[in-house]
Amino acid sequence: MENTRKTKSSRGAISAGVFIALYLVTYFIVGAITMPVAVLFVLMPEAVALLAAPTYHMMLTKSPSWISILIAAFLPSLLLIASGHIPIAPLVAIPAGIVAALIAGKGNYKSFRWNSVSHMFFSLNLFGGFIPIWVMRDYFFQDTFERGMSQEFCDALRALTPWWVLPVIIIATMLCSLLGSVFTQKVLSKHLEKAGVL
Amino acid sequence: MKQSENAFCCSCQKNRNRFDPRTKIMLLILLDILLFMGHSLFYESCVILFCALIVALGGQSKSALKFTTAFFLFAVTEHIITPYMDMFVITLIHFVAVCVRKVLPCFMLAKWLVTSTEVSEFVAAMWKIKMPQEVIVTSSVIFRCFPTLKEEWNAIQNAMKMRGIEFRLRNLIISPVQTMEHLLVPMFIATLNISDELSAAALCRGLDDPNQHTCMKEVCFQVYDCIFLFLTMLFFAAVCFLKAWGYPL
Repeated sequence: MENTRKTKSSRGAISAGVFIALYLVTYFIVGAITMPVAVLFVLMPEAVALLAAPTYHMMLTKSPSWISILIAAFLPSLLLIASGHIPIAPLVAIPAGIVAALIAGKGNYKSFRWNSVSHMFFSLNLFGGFIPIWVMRDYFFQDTFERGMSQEFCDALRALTPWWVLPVIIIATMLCSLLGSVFTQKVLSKHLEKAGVL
Repeated sequence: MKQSENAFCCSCQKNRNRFDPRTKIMLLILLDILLFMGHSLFYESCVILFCALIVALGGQSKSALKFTTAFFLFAVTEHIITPYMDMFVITLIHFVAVCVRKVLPCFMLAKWLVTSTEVSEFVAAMWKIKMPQEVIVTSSVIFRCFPTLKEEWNAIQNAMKMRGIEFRLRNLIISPVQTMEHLLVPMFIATLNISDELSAAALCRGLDDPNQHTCMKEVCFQVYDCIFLFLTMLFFAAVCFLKAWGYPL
């Protein structure tokens, strides 16, 4: 009995690893496309939330545990650190991951509804790179400017981000994540059930 | 017992030049924070020289030399072209130069961390800090998966191209839902197959053995780890003090 349980857990851990890798790839691609343009820069968390929702649901189907959620939330911020961003990202990502794990835990990681709600909060893990725009406004713009972003980029970003944009982005991200979940249920689960993986 | 202790010491002595994976991760995080605490060129040069020293001692002196040279080249370029900032092209070059230069130290450390740490070493270090096994398995799978995923992606793209439904901007605008569906369904099935194969392979190699796992390489803190962690902390403390005094860095 003990043995079967362990086998299951490491099997789940391996599929979680593969799906987290898929999630990171999504994040990379969206990030590479959106980074250089000021308007798209603000749209990035929404895009990632929308595109990564199916991956998130698949991950939870295959490995229903809080560990995979936490790792998936934490790794992007580690990547931000490795690529030389402001090292505040984990402070946002880890609480987001914990909240997401708690919510998904309510449905035992298996109820699609709770998982969708959990993904709404999970998507906020990307805000580590954005929060400084508002919380440490002066420092952020000085730093961005000194990093060689042109004055126009800074001005565009400053004009784009009055304080009310933060709640708007948060809500938009959550809505996009919900949309992603709906997409998963309406479009993808049909195929995946037919292939016998769900 | 005695003999095994000797063997332990020997293997530690042998890879004396190599840092413990735990030290590498801590150094990366600490130096990234340090990088953000100052803005002057002198301060940045200090940071990159320190990083280069670490990487060189870690066995990649060539890459250290390359990155340091690139750093100073970028700095020089920036100084030369600053007076001609009116032209658009120059602004662009300036932007690229400064951006890349700022990220170089961290990038160098991260590259060193990934290329010089074998997965088995990483796993052994994680065992040492008593991570739960699921965390270890998951994180070691993640890093070996990227090349495989890329292969799958290319194969799917090729197959879809034949029918004109590949993942590109035109299709994404005309029929976004269908394009995503055409991409994601085969991707998920492929991913699931990979993970099944991987877990079969891992089970065969005794991943689920409940006993203590062993590793060919001994992982332990050594003189170099202690020295460099201490130096970095010292550096950190000094910078904090200077900041507190209001000394501009």
